[in-house]
Amino acid sequence: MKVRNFKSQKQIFFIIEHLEPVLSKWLWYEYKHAAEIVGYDKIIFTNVRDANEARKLAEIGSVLRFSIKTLPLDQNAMIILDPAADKELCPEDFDKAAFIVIGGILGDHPPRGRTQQLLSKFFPRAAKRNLGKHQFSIDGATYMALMVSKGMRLLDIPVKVGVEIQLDDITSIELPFAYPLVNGRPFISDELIEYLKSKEMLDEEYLLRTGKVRTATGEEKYLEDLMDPV
Amino acid sequence: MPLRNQIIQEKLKKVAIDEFLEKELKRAGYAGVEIMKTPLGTRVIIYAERTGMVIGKRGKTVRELTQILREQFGIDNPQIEVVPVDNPDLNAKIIAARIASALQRGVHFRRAAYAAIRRAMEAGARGIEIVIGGKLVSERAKHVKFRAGSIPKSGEPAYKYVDEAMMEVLLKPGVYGIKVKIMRGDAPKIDEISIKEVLKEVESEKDEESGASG
Repeated sequence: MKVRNFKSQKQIFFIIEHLEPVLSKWLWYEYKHAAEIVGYDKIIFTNVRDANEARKLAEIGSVLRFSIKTLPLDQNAMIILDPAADKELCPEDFDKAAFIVIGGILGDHPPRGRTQQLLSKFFPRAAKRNLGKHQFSIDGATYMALMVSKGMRLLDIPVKVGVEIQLDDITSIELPFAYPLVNGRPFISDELIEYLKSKEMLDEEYLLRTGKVRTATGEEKYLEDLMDPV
Repeated sequence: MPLRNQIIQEKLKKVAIDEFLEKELKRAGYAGVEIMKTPLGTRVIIYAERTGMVIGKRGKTVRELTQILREQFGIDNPQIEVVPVDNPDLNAKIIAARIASALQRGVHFRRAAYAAIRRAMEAGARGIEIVIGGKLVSERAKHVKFRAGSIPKSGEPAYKYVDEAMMEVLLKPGVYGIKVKIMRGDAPKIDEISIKEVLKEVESEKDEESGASG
């Protein structure tokens, strides 16, 4: 494992721009895992418009109700993780960078390029970087970026594409995304796996039956109110 | 037209007809089509679960289909024959359509898939795999797989004995894709070993010979 001698070891802040229409339980577990990876003091959630969601996210990091687009940040010190970017993230990118921006999106398969449409295009001077060919989860992307900020190259971080979670003898869920391997195991939140095994089906069934989404804040929101921006 | 292009054109036409019939006869439990050229014209065999719906009142639907096949698809003198499917619980297309219809009625896909698996296994399938994929609001795209029995994924048994079907269903919270693979009950088990009867005959002949000499 090659680890670059990172001269300054300066503070890097991870900004997650919340772009999903609602803070679902799935999203919450990914955000929480991401916050545990980088530390609660180094993660900032932006664009959290709902007051209850902001209160919930304040448990795991700093929260801003408005979008990163409105913040007077130096774009030259910003790296946006975008799967559609031309260049791969490398340790040298962190010489100038102070912020890593990650889109708070639960992706489609194949990806629809929402990060570019909702985030990257608003920051023409910021560096846009990808994490390789594959799409990562939010917590997975956070872990990858943290490792690269510590001097590792993307090629040196083992990754597994497509993870299958066995629920019982008959059923399994396959997530067609890339996950970093830590100690030989895909790096997924245990809470998320537990949720997928036990309660996700009930929530999904409820959504299909009633048209209401059960959120991480304990609320129920009508599907019609959750407008998909893209 | 070179023979190769002619074959490709025919196959493309068959796919187009299959897609058209699948769309038109969804409620009739459409299970497939066979097209054969005869000296009198073209024989079109439509397999369906509910043949009455394909035929229609006094053959109205069949007459309409005949006209469409002749005019839109350019089939020479089509003669439609409607054949009921022997065992609908073992037909991948019918199973996929049933799951799609259950989803549209508001049944959760896991319940629909479990029911389909139970029925197929009770009907004598060697194995069944149902993959339902999609993305709902505020969830990651995912595939949920349901498996029972055994399904060969490659080689001759997969080609010969596995029936496969795909279907899409649009619901309010997102799109689901349904993929069904089913291994027929009459398919031989891959790890099954049978000993030929001939060996016993040879042994009995040997016994007779040794008895005669002794």
